[in-house]
Amino acid sequence: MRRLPLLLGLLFATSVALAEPAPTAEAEVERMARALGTLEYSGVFVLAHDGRLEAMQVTRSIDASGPRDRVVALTGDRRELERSGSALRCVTPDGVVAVDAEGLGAWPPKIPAGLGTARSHYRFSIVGAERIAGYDATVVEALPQDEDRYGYRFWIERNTGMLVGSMLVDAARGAVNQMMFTQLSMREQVAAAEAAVRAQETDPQQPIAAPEGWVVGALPAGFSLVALSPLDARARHLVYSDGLASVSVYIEPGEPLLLGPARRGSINAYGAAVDGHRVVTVGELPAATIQRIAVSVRRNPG
Amino acid sequence: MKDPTTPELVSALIDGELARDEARFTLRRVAGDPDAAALVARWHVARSVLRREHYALPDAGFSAAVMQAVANEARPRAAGPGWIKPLAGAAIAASVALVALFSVMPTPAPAPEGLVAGPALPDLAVPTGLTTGDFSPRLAPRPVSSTTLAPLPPGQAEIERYFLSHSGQATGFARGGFVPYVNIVATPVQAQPAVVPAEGGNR
Repeated sequence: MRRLPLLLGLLFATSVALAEPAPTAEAEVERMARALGTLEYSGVFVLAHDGRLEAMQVTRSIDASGPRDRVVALTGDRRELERSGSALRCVTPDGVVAVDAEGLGAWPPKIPAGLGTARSHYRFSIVGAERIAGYDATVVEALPQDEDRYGYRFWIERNTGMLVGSMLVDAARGAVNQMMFTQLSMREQVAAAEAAVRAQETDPQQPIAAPEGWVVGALPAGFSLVALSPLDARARHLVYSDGLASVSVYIEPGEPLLLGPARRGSINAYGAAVDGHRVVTVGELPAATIQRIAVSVRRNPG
Repeated sequence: MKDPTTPELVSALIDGELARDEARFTLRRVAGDPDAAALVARWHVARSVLRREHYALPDAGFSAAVMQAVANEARPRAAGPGWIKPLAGAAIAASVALVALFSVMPTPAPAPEGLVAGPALPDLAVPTGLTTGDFSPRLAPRPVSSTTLAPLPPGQAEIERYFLSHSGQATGFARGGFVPYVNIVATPVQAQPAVVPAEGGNR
């Protein structure tokens, strides 16, 4: 009988050792980021923003030529976006706007693997479990440590890692927008897509050299240059990220197209004129942060 | 006098939570205001999506059909017991829903060629009791900018290209997925009125 407690203790220790460690919130977000790029899916979701409610349909397919995305507004004016390889095409009531990154030497975009410095600038936590669109989801929060960036709440499907719902929150934890799938079908991860995503990824520890001649002086803590695309001989598109959010800085010669703020949903932009160049910053960051970054862009006298 | 285009009132109307008189009054105002009618139609579709019903897109005749529904509801009826009033509001909302449903395109936008339908996964077609109210209270209608912005004037595609190009290069958690495109599709660009026209950019 004296051996019974010992045996029970051994059994408990063995079961603990064999049990899978619970995934961390950070690991869940990384899994979600990868799933978004490597799954095929089709579904309908609702987006709430600015007190409005929109229904949208998304379809993603992957073939030998790469992923193809299509997002269609089911409510309001006719709006849709198609992405096939490097080509983006947006249809609005005012016409069609198209961008092809390949001709600009910016395709495929290089993407830093992992969450980068996000761990230092957000508090990650798993806050619960909910059922969304018929799927069990883990609810993960990433709350910012300062007011320079938004926070996130993600609903991450248990098996695939697919994002089935999200909420963008401001510094006061008020919702800026909220997205939730109501119908969703997914297919298993596509090996070719997995390989393509890996090929795109860069080492986050490998710094990218800043462009000569220009300084972006007021980036929020943790933001580093993750992509630099020469649009042509004199124009540049710089992408900075803290691991979760990203901001584009466009520096082009010429008169400004935009002076002051602009926005599209929760994406803010700001245009400024600097030394004969137009500077435009675009990103899903608070308007004040986007403005601060734009007006900090200066020619490097060195 | 309440503005019929407030999200709260539209939500209550669509969910059938307005009393009969208030619902009728709101619908009359909606029927006379194409923008408000479009808003109600949009919320109806969003509610259908939330309830996982068959979703559909209202056509241009929606406003006139709403007016007819209101006219039908406005015919004198025998007075009922007091407790039936909220249900009367629901009946009007149901009329709106039916109008929307019968003045629609029957199918959602087709998927691009080459997409093979995925295997049937969990049955998602079970209607639930969700209403718009389940969604909107969690969303305080906070503007993301305190500056007054207005829709871009026509011919400002170059500014739209900045947003489109950024979405195509998005990194962070949304890398590689559909998330960067959601804002692009959901809303037009709004900018401070002092947008300076100039020659095109290079994106």
